[in-house]
Amino acid sequence: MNRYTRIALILLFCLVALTSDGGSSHLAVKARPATDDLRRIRFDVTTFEEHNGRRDVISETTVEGPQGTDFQIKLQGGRFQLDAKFLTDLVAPEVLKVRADLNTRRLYGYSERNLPLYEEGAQKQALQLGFDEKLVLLPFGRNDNSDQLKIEITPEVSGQSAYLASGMARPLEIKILKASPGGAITVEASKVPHRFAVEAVLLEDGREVARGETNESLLEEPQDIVLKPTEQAGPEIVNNPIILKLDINRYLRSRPTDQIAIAFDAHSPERQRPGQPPPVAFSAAGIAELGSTLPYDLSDYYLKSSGRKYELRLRVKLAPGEEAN
Amino acid sequence: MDCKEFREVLDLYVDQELSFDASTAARIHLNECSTCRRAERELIRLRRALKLVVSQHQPSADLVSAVRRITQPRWRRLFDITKRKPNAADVARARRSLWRETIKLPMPVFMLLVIAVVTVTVVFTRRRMFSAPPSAGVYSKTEAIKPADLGPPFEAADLSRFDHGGRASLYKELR
Repeated sequence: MNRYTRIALILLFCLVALTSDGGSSHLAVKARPATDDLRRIRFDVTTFEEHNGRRDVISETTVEGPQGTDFQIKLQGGRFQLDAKFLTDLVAPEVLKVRADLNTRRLYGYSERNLPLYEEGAQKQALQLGFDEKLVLLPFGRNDNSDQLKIEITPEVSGQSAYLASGMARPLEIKILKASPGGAITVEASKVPHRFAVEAVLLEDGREVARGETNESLLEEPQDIVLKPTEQAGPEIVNNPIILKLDINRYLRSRPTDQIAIAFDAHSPERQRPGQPPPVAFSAAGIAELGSTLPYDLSDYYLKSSGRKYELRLRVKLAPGEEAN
Repeated sequence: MDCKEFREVLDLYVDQELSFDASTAARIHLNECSTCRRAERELIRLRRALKLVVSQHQPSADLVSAVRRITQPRWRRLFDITKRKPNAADVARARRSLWRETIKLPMPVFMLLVIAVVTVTVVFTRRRMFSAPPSAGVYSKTEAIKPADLGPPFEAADLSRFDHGGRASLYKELR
């Protein structure tokens, strides 16, 4: 083997070593993330019955997990059901962003054919919560004159590290300190990635003419992505920009790769007025694996008179620093 | 052996069922006691008379078959597996007798059976009471039944005392 071959082999070996992820998981030592990510957040979910200023605890549960842990509170009564989902994110060292999705269902009566009639309610709310505050959920609304059911959610920083001594992430923990009678109140928890990077590209006859991207698209939070014309864009594209209102509304565990479900509208930046052309795309949706491309044909909706083929391609990946597992 | 002892074993002596020594003692006493000899003669005469009377009279066929039926096992009684073929009357009679038979149980077993039957009845009745569906009715389209009038469509915890029709609300407050 001559000198040049030897040097090439050494360089190749160094390149492989630098680009590999360590091979076997039990041999690789995962690099620890920044200090903030090591913290675990604990949520104390306590259900009270308030009557004449007196409080009786009905149930108590704690949910503990890494930042970004989501939990769900279900209340099941004979005539009433509540499904409250909470997505939490640590947006600052002492601030949690909580996005709540409340769905209620109440038995209203029976129809002529003896079928049950339900009254349903849906609310979405986003709150910034400090660790010196607590969330209060009133499933049946306020009622100061008689018995009131109240659910308090108190966040705290847990003393446990987010990682075990072996380097593996500590799993989610749900502890039922006091079970509700008849299993009326249940708490579930899960951890899925919340932050995503989105890349949107507009192609005209196969050429990229507009692009938009974001590294901080949150799960279940619609975000506007402006497609900015590239150098190859003609005056028609420049005069008709597109804004995507994108919502990554579900994260699906799957193998070999997890999947995401998206929904979006594409419209022009100007407000819609009577007589204006309709949006470019309306209530579009799709499901794809993380990192794969979702193509949408806009030829029938965008600059139709030009006779060119327009295609929108979306690609969703995990944001930098976000982990799938 | 004296007269009292002899009278106690007289039947066995006449049937020749005494042991050698007891029979010898009885014979010796008979030789000495005229009263016991007379008793022996009367017993023998009575037995002979009975045998004569019995041999002169034949029992009726019904009596014979009834006695035979009683002594046979139940399954043979039902189907009357004998030399003659069973007829419908015999089978019906056998079945009737099967139904009419008295079931005899020891008292503790009978009491346990009664307690078991009562317990099962009570449990079954209670289960039916609590799983009874809500009462149905016919209602017009314009009016719905007020929730308080009807039972819930499924069993669950009772939260009705908190429900005044209000909308769920979420807010934050200082700890």
